[in-house]
Amino acid sequence: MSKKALQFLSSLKLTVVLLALAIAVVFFGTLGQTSDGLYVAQERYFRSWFTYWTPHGSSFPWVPLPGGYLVGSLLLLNLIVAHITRFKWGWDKSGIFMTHAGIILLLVGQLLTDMMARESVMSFREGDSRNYSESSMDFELALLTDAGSNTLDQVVAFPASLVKPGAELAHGLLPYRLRVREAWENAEIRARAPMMDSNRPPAATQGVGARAVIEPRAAMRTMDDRNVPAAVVEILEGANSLGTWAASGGLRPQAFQSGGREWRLEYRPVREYKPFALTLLKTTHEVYPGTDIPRNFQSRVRIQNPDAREDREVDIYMNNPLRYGGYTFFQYQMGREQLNQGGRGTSALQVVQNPSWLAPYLGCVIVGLGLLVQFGIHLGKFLTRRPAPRPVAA
Amino acid sequence: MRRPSTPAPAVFLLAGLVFAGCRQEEVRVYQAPREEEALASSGASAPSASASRESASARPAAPWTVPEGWVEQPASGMRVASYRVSAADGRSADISVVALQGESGGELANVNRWRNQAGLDALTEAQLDGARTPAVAGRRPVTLYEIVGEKPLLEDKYRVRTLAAILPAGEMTVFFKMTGEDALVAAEKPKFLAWLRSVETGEREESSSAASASAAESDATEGGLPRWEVPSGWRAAGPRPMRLASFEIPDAAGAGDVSISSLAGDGGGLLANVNRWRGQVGLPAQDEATVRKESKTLETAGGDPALLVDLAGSESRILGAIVVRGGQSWFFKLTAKPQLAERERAAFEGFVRSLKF
Repeated sequence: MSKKALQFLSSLKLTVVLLALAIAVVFFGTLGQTSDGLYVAQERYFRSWFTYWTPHGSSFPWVPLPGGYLVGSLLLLNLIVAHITRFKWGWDKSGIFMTHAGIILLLVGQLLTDMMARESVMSFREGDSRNYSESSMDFELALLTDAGSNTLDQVVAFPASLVKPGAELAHGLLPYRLRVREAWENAEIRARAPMMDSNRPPAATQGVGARAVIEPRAAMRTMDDRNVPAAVVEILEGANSLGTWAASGGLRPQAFQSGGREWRLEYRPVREYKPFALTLLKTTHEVYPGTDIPRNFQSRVRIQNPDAREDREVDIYMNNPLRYGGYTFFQYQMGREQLNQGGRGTSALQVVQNPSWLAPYLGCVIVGLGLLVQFGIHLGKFLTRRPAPRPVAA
Repeated sequence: MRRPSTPAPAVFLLAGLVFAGCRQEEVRVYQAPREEEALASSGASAPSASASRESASARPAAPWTVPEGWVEQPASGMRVASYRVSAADGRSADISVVALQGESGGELANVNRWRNQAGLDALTEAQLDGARTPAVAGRRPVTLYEIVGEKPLLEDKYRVRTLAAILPAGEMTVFFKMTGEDALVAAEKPKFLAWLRSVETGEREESSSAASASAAESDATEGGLPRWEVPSGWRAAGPRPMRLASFEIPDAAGAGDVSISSLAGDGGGLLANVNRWRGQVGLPAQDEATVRKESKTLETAGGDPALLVDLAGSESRILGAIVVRGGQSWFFKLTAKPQLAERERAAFEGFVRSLKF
């Protein structure tokens, strides 16, 4: 690598330019959320190498921008190259080195969070137990059958990304294959109504789909909305067709027979099973008197972990998440209508698994300590350099 | 100055790229504890606990005209459509269209469920009759119920009022319902009725246009509509207010119009209707005895007697048939220029004879 290139990569000017670009990316990324929604804006502005900003409603790319990955990587590169080529170790600079180490930890920690953190949702009604959480974004086409015992299911789950029109889904454990006839990222399935749908055929030939129609919907991008995918699949045993089935995120499992056993077909949020179970015992929903502003959402849950021989109750409420088994459970949503109607309350917990969750805390502490050390060193030098006061003549 | 032994930064960048693109999605195979979850049966799907809250804006056009002020809500599960209307002071009413298999428990059970929601006692089968009002959904007669609560159930302040129309449609039953604060629902009632009338009942046009080529049968007896054979040359016409079906008879001198409508009870009476028709072609009113004397009776394919009148004015002529059957009056009316009416008289009589309720 040429000396010039190294000089460029280690220059303070590059740092300043990159910080300015970072501010621009954050600014336009925040603006972009108004039209793209949080998740799309995150992908587009921050989890990208290059991007551009377009005003709402325009298709012309107005402001070309570096993506978050590019700015972050270059900042990291800039800092590391500067350390290798320019900075020289000395105790008097230990504070600067610590500060830079903290910044590197912040940048790397963010990259790790980005790659490794997983968010999902555990939603249940009072009295229900859950040993899994569900993705709030991703769905899977799951095929289930008895695993040989009365309590276990064998599951073969195809991610929604594979459920595309024309695709054939097969697996060694399945005595049949699925041919995807139609698929939608977001659609609603509903009963085939007499007046509205008489000139439309049912969605499928078998199961619920034989009495239902599927209404495609525009894909949702905002945080409050959620896509519910749907598909029509044909089940084939060799050359023999068992008919078509409608699968939708809004449907309960549907049963069919193949290979001498009962199978169930379900299009559901991707599940992540845990080695422990939570039972929702009680939900509490309080608002400030006379308003709808929530004062307290609280879920009392029972943790049962047979491996750890643990069985205890905890309260999860706003700003008081449960950290357990590498997961953090935040109080997320609460079904208020059911509570008002005297039914069983529902609660949704956001489940976050982030192995590098400590990195930003640690990074900030190291940066803070580094600054303190550096200021301390400067203060020490200043004090020792001050000449001793001379006695003043009377 | 130390020089890096390898282009470490480049390696780092590359690693970042590789990791960033490494969100693998593959088939997962695992065993999981079985959940005692009910299997989906037939008909409407119940939304799961994690079901969608998707935006109403993406819905395709509904087969009716949505009254002003009604805000579309996400429809889900059994609801085909859902609307909400709100007053400035926070009072609101919910409007829903639900389609269910079969009779879904029967009329009495449904009416009593709505009465229960309004805080009223259940009715008996005998009392149900008095609670019915006839109305029209699209071009079909429906039964309308208006239920007004007595106790302030909503926020302990407001009484509940429910308007509900039941439309039997083949294997299914469609419920159009508006429920909410008493005064608001009462104020919205004209809009509710107009909405019901605007409902597009697709099947009739479909079958009629298919029938236009020759004398085909109307498709079904859904919603209590009779079967009929459409004479050749008659073309299905678009929906019209208060009509269950319309046909057009093209002619160079001016098209003829055939309408089919139905009203509960005697529909105002034979005499009033015939005299209204007489007025339309410029004839003076008659008394009932004369009307009956000048009319003739045909027997329909279903064995019901149809009273046939032929009212010839100077400019236009009406051929009308009235069938009173099961507490419902059916009106079949051909209006055309005198020559065209004369030409179509046999076809019209054939049409009336083909009726099968």
